[in-house]
Amino acid sequence: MGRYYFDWAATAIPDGAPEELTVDLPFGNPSSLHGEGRRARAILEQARAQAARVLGVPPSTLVFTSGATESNALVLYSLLLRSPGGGIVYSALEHPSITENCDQLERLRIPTVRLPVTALGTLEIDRVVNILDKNRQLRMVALMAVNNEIGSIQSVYALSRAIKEDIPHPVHVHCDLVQGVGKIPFSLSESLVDSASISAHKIGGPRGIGLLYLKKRIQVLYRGGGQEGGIRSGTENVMGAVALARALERHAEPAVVEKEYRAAQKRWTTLIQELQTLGRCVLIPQGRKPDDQRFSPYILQASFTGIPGEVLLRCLDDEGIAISMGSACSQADQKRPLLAEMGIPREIALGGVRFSQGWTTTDKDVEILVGTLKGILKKL
Amino acid sequence: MDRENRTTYLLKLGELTLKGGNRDQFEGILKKNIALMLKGTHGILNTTNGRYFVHCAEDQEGAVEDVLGRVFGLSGWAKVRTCEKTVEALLAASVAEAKSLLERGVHSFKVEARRVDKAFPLTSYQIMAQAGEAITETLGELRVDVHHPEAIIRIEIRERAYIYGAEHPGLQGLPVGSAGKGLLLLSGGIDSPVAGYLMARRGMRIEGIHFHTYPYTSREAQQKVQDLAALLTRYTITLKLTSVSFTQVQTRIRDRAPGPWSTILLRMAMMECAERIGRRKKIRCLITGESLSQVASQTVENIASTESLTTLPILRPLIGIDKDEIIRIARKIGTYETSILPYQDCCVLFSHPHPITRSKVSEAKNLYKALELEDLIEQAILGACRTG
Repeated sequence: MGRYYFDWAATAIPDGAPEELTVDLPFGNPSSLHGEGRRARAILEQARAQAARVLGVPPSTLVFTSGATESNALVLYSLLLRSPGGGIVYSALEHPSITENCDQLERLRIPTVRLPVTALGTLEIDRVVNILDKNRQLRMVALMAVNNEIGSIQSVYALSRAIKEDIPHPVHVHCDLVQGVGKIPFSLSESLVDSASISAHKIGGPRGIGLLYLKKRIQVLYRGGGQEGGIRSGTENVMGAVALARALERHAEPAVVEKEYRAAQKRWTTLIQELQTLGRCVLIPQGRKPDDQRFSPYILQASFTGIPGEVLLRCLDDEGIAISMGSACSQADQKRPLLAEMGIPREIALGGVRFSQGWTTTDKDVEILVGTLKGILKKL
Repeated sequence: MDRENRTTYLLKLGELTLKGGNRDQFEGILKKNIALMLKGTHGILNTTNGRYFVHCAEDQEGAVEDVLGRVFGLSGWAKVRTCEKTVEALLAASVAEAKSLLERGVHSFKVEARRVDKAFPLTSYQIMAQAGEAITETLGELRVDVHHPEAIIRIEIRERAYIYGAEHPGLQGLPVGSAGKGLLLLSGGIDSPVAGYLMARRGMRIEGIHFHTYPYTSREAQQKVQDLAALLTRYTITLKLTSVSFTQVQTRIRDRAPGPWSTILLRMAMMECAERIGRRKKIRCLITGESLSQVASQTVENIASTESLTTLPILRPLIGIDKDEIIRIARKIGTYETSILPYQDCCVLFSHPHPITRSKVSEAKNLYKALELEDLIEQAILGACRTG
């Protein structure tokens, strides 16, 4: 039985083995002054330059980290060291690596404000601006470019512009770009964000390597050997950096993103249209249209009446199709915070499953997914 | 095995020594069980003159002691020192045994001796006196107390001299296989493995049956039950596990029965299915982990409904045992940590928030009949597979 992978938002199918890259890599520590070290340093800086070129930012703004969770944490915990101190505005749209750490910051007496989310899974620009305007203590905003559960796209350009133009005090705009980079057309420099997080394994690279884009320096909590400009101490992961740069070159060049986006949207439009013909399917949010520009064409959340998400996941898995779900049936009482905030009824949220695609997904794969779903729904 | 460097254990039999004419039968089963459980440890069971000895190489002591701690039918066992039949060797070994007792916190002792080999130069009384003296002279902290000793050092002069003191308590009970066979309804919870353990301790051979509702429950939940069954075999020696898909039955109950009744009706169906499988396997009784009033389905009224269609006896060894005590046993036998893994054995879709607690048997029977589960249960039995 073939396998059909629809869980790209969890991790992408690796684009070549990382070992291929290591064959000729110098093993030296980039901080060492000898030849081995200097060669490793050169390779690391070359990777940074490649990544910077693809992302359209200066190389000095890119910090290699272990992944987006660390990138997010570096920025969030800088609040503890700011002078004067400041708080953060975030929402249920954010990944747990933001929301959980915001809870943690609150326990550490950092002011936090959780913004309400609209029924379409977006933030209202006016509301964001109002809250920041009224409260001079709030010095940071977390904006997730593309939500990982429902695929809603934030108007990061408009939001960051409004914040920069309308708020009299400085506000750091941080953007979790994990589901955005390589997926939707996005320019860091045009967006006016102050920092952004990127993860390699969502675009075909290996685990354990990511990027933090930092327009200007921040204070960081963890110190060490002072690598990466003192932002992220620890001996540099040269192999990971090279692999990340390669993944960005393959999948995040603006022209490639445009092309893949159109192909992805075509497949997703078909999928959504097909799902809408199934009586038991409810899109999350229900207001999502087949070719809706407000949502990423790589992510789709849907629920099937009367079928818990984990049950559908198992049935599809048995048929060779990999998808994901938000919360386990057995943890039904732990509501999914985002879906609850969007006003999605509990029974529908319980059935929520996520389909996500990538650059190797084909029309045929989508056809097989739909056909298999139909078969399963008949049985359940 | 080198006779000089081997370790010897003396085993004490438990309740089966009270048996009369059929004692040989019980002992035959016990011997077979011990030999079977010793496989893989290189331990050897030797039963001469009605005494049970296990011999093993020194490096196998840990493995053998682990086995002896899991055999039903033993009241205890002790590590035996053996030595040459000379007075010097005997006294030295007695002091060594006393020293190990002292290290275990014992402060008073007495010596008991038995001279089977009458060629030995000292009488039983002389052995006791001389050994006691040698011990108290060497180990001043130990004192003799013939009436209430904390430990007894036993000396036996046979083909060799045997000395043993500290006795490890055994699991008691009766040897597995001496009391027929029972079919255990094994869920992934804490209670049913303990119920199986307790019945095995009374000599019952255990087979297991597990009902799953894949895909409504996960493969991990099924694996968990298989793991529990495997853990129980440490005591039950064997445990064949039959896995039955109850998805169709449960879906029918969900679709046709009043919600508050669903759990009772499901349990009735499980009992009916278990009984049918049990009869085919010539098993004489069912075993459940029910404990009175622990959950809604375990009120006396609901237990009456649950068993109303079953004719095989249903043994419920936990019926009067508190949850704390059940957990204590589960921890002791090593099933607790697996039981509490978070894989549900029932999907939230099938459980009603307000189940009926005082069902009427006649009503239960009527509702059950209306479900027409006959064929579905038969199909489930035909599709059942042995998984452990």
